Amino acid sequence: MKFTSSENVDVKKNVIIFIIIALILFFVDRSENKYFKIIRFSINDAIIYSTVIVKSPFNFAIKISNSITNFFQSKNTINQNEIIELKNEINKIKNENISLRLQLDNFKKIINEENYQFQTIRTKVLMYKSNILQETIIINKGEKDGVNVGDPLIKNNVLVGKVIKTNFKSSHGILITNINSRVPVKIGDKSYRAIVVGNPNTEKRLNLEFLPKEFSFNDGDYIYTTNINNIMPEGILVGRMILKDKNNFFASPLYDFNQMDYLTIITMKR
Amino acid sequence: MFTFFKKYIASIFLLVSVIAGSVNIDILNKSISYYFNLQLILIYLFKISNPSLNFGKGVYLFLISIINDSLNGLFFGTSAILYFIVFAVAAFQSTIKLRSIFISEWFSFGLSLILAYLAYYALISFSGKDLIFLNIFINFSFTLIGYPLLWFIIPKSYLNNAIR
Repeated sequence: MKFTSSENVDVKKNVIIFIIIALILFFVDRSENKYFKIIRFSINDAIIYSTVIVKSPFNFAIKISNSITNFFQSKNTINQNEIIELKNEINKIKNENISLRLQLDNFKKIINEENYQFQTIRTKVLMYKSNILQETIIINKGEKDGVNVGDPLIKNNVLVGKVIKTNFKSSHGILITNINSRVPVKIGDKSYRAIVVGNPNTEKRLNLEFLPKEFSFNDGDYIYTTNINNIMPEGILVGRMILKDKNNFFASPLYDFNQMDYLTIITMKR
Repeated sequence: MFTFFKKYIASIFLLVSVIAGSVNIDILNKSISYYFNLQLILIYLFKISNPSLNFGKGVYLFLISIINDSLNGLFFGTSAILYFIVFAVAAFQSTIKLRSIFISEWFSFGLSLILAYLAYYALISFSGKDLIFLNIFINFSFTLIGYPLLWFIIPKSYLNNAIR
């Protein structure tokens, strides 16, 4: 590459130096070095919370504008909001009911299986970042709160995603619709085992991998998590099977992407 | 104050674009940052408009890339490599040109994007993550198309006065 003036020779030198530094940093970060991990956690937390603070006036302005809009809304519209909240509550209870029933069925089938007790942590979604690689959510709980990489993120007892990276007081999570997300599941009454993977073409469908050679689904069969090597707790709803005909089916996620202000983390002690 | 702002406008624009990337603006159920990479356009556009711009000898560019990596959950250094590839091509292009020819600038921007996305693909593959080729293609195409739009939108006085 040709750089003519002395100033540009400096630019060339700097570019090369910074690319080398970036490469070194990349490989050190990737190696999960325990000393670098502390630095990374601190930098990530500092950047994430600084960004939240910088963005807070804008978020505050948006909240005020929403409050003013709500104030001038008619009583009927406010009641509509209450109805939506109640509907959400009903959905949550319904999902919990289905999930508990599935867990109970499983425990009936498998006698002497170890019953894992899991702790849950309520967390706030600080940020949602999207790029060509993945859609990331940043939450306000980290390693110091007992969060580990791989912990499931749920909402209304429906699996939303899982933690992929932790810091001290914050974590990154990906959604189950991401192609890099892999979740062990069971499907329907016959409890077929499979792995749910995000669909690269659409967020409204999930791919099923490692299905048994012979299987038969019913329309609306629930897909729920299964506990293999303590990766996921048993019985969290993931999605439903949609059957167009016998050979034409797909899995559809159950989570509502628009309601991800607060989530619950299930901490898995590994 | 205004002179200071003008001097650092490139780094400020870049930093704001990184932070604002977390604001949810969706087009066809996809976030706006899925479609194009504003940071790469800004780096190229500012450097090509003012060859003496060096982003604090590259330090600001590096720090902004770290912020971007942190917010996107990427390994540190991933964005820096992309940013410096585009910056290097823009620096090279700005030294060889005698006068501003938009088409040749746009073409070399396309070339810098190809190099940057190839590096990105290699780094992500090396991280053991899957990347959808279609996503890269869409992002590449809209970033390339976005260049002339920003070239028209951002006033030339801002582009030429940014020196730090």
